[in-house]
Amino acid sequence: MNKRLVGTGLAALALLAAPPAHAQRLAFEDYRLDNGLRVILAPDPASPTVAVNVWYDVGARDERPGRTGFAHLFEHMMFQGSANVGKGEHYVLVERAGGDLQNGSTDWDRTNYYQTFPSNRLNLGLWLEGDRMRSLAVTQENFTNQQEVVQEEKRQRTENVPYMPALWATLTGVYNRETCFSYAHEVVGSFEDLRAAPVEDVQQFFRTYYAPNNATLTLAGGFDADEARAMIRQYFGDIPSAPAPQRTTCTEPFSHLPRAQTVQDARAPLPAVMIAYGLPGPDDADFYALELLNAVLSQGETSRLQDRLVDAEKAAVDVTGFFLEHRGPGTGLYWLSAAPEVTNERLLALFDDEMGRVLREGITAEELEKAKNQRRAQTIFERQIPHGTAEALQHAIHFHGGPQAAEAKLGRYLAVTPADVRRAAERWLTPRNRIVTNVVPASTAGQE
Amino acid sequence: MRPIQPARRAAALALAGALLLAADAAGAQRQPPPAPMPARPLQFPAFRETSLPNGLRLLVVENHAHPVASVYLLVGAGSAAVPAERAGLAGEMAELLTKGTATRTGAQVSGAIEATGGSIGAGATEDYTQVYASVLSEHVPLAMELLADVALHPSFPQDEVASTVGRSQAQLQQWMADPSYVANRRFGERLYGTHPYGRFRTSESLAALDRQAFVDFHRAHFHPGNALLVVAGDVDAARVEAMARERFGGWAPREAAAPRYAGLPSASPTRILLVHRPGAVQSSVRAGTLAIRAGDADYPALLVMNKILGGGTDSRLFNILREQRGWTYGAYTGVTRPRDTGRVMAEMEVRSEVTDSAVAELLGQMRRMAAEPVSAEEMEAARGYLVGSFPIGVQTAEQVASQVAITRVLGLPVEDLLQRRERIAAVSADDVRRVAARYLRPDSLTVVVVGDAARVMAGLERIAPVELMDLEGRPMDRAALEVRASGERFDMARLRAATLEYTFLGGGNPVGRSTSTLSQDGAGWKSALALQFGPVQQTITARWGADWTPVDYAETYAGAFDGRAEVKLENGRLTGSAAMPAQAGGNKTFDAAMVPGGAWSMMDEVMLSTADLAEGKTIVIPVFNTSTGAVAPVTFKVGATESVTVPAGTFQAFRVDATGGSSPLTLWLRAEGPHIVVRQELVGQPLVSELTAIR
Repeated sequence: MNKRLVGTGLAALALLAAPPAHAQRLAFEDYRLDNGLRVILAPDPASPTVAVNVWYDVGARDERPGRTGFAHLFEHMMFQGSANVGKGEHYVLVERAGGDLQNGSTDWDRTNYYQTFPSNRLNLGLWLEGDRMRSLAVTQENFTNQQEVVQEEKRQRTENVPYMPALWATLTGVYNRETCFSYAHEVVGSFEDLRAAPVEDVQQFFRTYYAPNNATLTLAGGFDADEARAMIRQYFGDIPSAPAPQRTTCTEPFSHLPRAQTVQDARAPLPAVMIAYGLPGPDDADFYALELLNAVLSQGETSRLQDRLVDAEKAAVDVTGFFLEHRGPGTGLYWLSAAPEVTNERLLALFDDEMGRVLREGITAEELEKAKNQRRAQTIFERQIPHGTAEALQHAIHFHGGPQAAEAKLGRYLAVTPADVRRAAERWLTPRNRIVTNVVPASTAGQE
Repeated sequence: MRPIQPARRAAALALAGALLLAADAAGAQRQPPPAPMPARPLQFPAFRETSLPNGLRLLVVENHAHPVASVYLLVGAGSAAVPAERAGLAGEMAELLTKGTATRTGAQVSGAIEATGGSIGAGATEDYTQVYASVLSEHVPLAMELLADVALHPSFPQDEVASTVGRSQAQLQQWMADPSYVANRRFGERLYGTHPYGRFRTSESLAALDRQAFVDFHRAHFHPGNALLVVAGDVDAARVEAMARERFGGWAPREAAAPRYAGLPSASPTRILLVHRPGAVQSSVRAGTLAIRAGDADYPALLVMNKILGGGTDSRLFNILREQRGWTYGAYTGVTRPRDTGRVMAEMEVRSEVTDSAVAELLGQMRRMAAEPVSAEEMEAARGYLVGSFPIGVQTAEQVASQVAITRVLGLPVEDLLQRRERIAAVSADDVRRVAARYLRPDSLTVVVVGDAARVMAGLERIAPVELMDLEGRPMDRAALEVRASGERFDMARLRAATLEYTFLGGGNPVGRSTSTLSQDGAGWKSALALQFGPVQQTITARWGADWTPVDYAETYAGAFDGRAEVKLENGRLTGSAAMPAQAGGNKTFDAAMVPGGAWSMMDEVMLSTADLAEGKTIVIPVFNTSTGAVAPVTFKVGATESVTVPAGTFQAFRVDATGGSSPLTLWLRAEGPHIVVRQELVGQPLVSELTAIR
């Protein structure tokens, strides 16, 4: 809690700088059921709502060549019904109970399912998640049906969206396909792989990766911990566990760099350059410095790349930076959209000039302070809702070694010095350690 | 970019409705979900409302659960306070507030807030303009200081005014090309008549916005007596009050003109306004009526009625129009509650061929809401969602501040928000039927359809009288729907065999090229095009006989995808087939009647090259389009001649606007005959083609 001058009612005092706020200490309980299901309970008695959040430790990184797309397809399958829940009924049952913020998502490193309920419907959330973990309907019919849906989704969200094919080619192209296939392929995977898969493989995938010992259930918000423990035992306790899955490996992920590629995009109105650097994973001390540096370079109206490329030189209409965190090696991507009449060569030269400045001079203490403030604010803002707290705990478990990292991680960001940033930049952000994608527009011929 | 978020709602939703209806058969041996546990009371944080001596109202909502706070300043003047000839002023002004003050540049404003990890923003609705900031609670003093600065002392820098308004002009052009936007806009104009809620920005009204307009609007409406400051989160009310006095105490009070709401049209029998969008494959439908004002006690019942009829995917319209009929991707209703009269509106995008059926079904469902009581199950589901999800919408300091501020600026007591759940829970099926009968009046609706009138008009006329309008908003005669050539004479003797080469530029960069060759073909002519556009290769071959009678036409695609289409004209009918990827139309067969004077695509350019062009002339050529499988008139409006420089040289050329094809184009045709295309431009997109060589 915020300790400071209270209740003086004097304007002068009100303007004195207050000591920095801290997120309320995050109290949680961490235990496992006999079948291996990990449970995190983070009650906040003041909240009238409760987040029910399940992460399965499976994602595209667990897929092997010839068998891609399963992790994402499963996210769809999880809404296709189970022993006591009809096809598509999950969503409606949640909504009719006053639930909201419900969805599922897949990335390389995990698959998550979540919903927020009024506190008195926690039991429905647990019942629904337990039912599909125990008895998902992995049938040929559902499988075939969801292949179509996924194909349509890929069309709408990737193939037909300007710049998306190039973005994926860059995010995956920064990884060496031979030694780090985990991150060198798209999450949505290949339709050929999905079509070639027998339903038995899909069922096996479910038994292996959707077993309770491969899942973490997190509750955050307004609930009673004793009641919750009893219900969790009731709804999840008898789901059988499975042998732990074999994990894929990622070694020498960036040994093939540097790379350059050209992507022609029939939907892009303007040229663009995308640059992705090979970066370390969250177990490396440089990780924290690099994420803060990314913020200095690309986050907000007053970031370096925005200032230089967009505002001063008017060479780019937009600059977007992504810091893509993986459980393994990550990547930092910069997407520069060219202003009319500006060539990609000039854009890249300006970008390199800015990166050169970082390598030569580092960043200022003031810039670093701002990035840390943003990080701290973000950590606090996201805890305002139970869903944010639940996601933060899950992320800490899966990416940073345990739930306590949800709090401890902030300290690692705040400890970064300008020298750390410069050293990390020298080590990772070099032209030798990146892929550059030249995006060339080519509007559809049919329009002419 | 962290997670890729696939399944989203769509996957789950797609199947939700229909299957629920059918779920009971299979549900025999199923276990039901557990019953609700006892509900917890919702403790809304304490409020404190005061006024500063200058009349500024201050509302503080203390909530110390998290060390964050949000500050909202609302001023009771929005788009409805702007005369029609300056429409757009309020929204543009809101955007400009944070772009510079008497003592800070725009970059300093955003830099200061970003340095704390907070955010600042502004916007306008019809009734009010708001400026808001969200910060960690330790930065509330800064948030108050910045908010006061941007709201009280904006400088409206000339260059920011020019670039903001310029961007909005370009955006408006894009919006007007979007049939959903056109439908919403025409619906609003029709429903509200000359009432201030029916005012929309135009290219002219935006052009009228100079710096002085912003200064004047700000001076006229930004007064403490017309404003409300809401601070919510981890703050101390007394300290906030002190800060408010410090930052806003010197804001001089003045008389602000109260908004005048007048000009609502009186109720009239249902009519359909049909906006003709030639070649459209789907129609955008909007239907609704005027409904309640801010203080109306019918609001909770209307919310429940709306949820049941069309408030989401667990509703009647979605289930019937999408799940059962498959006519649309989604059909929804919504209720607004502004300060003056709001509305109920249904919206859907439907395939052209089922437009009339879908409109009839929509009206039927509105009638049914008023005629039949809704089932206990539907009441339970709707109230369950609205009551249960309410706390999820007021979790953060920002949500609380925003909800409280809006409630108060609409002139409602805070109880309207605090007792929302109880009031919704008390709504009965009778109440739902009563408000449906009162507000859903199928005999007195405003209906707007934006679609291909040639295809949908006859069906709509069986539902209600139809009034026809073009995309620019001008009344249209139905005779104009008949596809007819303009009677221009094209002299085939003027044709000469030639090859023309073009380059394509996207945003100024080369992105492709084409070669088109015109040659004699027996008694007629043939035009062949080979085009390379990034990864796409396209060829078109069009042949015609003497007197410009079309013979046959073929197009192929290779590279990014493979596809082909072939059509021939025999005995007055166009027949043929296309095999294209699904996103480009898929497989289809063509069978359509040809229109006298009709042409293949590509032939129109050749015909124009032989015409007697003159400024002010309008030439209409009916053209067969393989994407729609129909013949539609393409209208060429000849403008003045200009000097145009392209790689092939500098030419005097007529500027010609072409509409009615797959997208609007501007062409420059050489003034000297034959009037070959020197340059062309896709309207609203940074794509041009320029002549590089004539051989």
